[in-house]
Amino acid sequence: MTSVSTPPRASAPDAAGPAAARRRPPWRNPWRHPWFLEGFTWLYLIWSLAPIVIAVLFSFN
Amino acid sequence: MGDSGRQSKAFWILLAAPGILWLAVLFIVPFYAVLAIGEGKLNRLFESPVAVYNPLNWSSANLANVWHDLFGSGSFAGPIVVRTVVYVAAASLLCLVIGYPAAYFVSRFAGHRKGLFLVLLIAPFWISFMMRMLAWIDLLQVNGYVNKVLTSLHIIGTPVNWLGGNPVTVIGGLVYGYIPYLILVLYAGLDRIDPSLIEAGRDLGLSRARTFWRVTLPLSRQPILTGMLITVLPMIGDYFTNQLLSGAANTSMIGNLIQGQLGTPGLEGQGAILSLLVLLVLLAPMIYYVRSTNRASREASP
Repeated sequence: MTSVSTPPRASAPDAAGPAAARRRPPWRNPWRHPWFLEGFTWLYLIWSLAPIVIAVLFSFN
Repeated sequence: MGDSGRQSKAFWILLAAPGILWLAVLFIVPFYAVLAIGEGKLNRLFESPVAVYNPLNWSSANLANVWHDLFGSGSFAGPIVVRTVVYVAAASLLCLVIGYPAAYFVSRFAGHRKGLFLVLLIAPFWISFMMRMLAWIDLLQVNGYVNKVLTSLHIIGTPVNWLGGNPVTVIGGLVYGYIPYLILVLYAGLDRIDPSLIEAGRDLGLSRARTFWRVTLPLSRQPILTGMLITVLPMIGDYFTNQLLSGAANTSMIGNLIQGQLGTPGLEGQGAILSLLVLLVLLAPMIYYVRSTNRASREASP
C-alpha cells in the first residue's frame, strides 16, 4: 500500500487569517511598498534635474 | 552552391556594406591618419606635425618621448594616469551605487507611474552635456547656491572654492554627466528579469535582501557590466568635465593631457601616440565584455 503524505498544515499566521496579517507590523510585511527605494529615486531625479532648472530660472539671465 | 545560396550570400554582403563602408571611412581612415601623425615627423620650421603614411618610414621618436613621459625618471604623465584611474573608478562606483537602486525601483515597483519615471530619467538626454555642466558652474561658485545652502545649514563654516581644482567636484561632475547612460542600460536589463523568478525566491522562504543577493543581483550581472562599460570608456577620455569644473593642473586627467598636447605646436605627434595608447588600454575591457557577452548568450541558449 502506498502511503500518501498529507500536506503540511499552514503556518500559524496564515491560518489565523487576514486579521493576524493586519496586526503584523509594516516592516515585517514582505510585500510592503519600498518607500526607501522610491525616496532614493526621487532624490536622484531632483539631483539630476534641479540644477538645470535652478540655473535656467536664476542664473542664465 | 546553388542559386539560392549565392543570392543569400549577396544579400548579406549588401546588408553589411553600409556598415563596413561607414567603419572604413569614419573609423579606420582617421585612425590610420592619427597613427601616421604619431609615427610621423616634425617640421622644425613651423613646429607642425608631418604625417607619414608609409610604415617603412615611421619614426619612433614620439613613442619614445611618450614612454619617457609615462615611465621615465621624473615622469609627469604617470601621476596623471594614476589620477585618471582613481577618479574614473570612484565615479563609476558612485554611478553604480546611485544608479542601481533608481533603475531597480523604476523597473520593479514603479507600477502605473513607470512612464513618468522613464520620462524623468531620460530628461537629461534632452539637455546638452555642456549646458548641464554650465548649470553646475553657476551653482558651485564661491557665492553660488551650493555654498549658500551649505553655509546656512552650518555644514560648512566658510564658502568652499569648489571650482578651484577640487577632486570632489571633478568626480561629482563625472558622475552627474554619465549616470543617465548607466541607469538606462540597467533599467533595460532589470526590466527583462522574469518576475516569477524573484517571486519563486520569496515563495521558497528567502527574505527580501536574500532574494536580491541570490536572484536579482546575479541576473543583473550582464546589465551592470554593459552599463559600467558604457560609462567607464567615455569617462577615461573625458576632458570637458574637468576643464569646465576645475581647469587646475592638480586634477587634470589623461584626456586633458592629450588635449593639451594636441593644442601645443610640436607636441601633436605625442598627443596622437598617447591617444592611441589609451585606445589600446581600453581594448582590454572591450574584449572582456565581448567574451563575457558571448559566454552569457551561450549559457542562455538551450
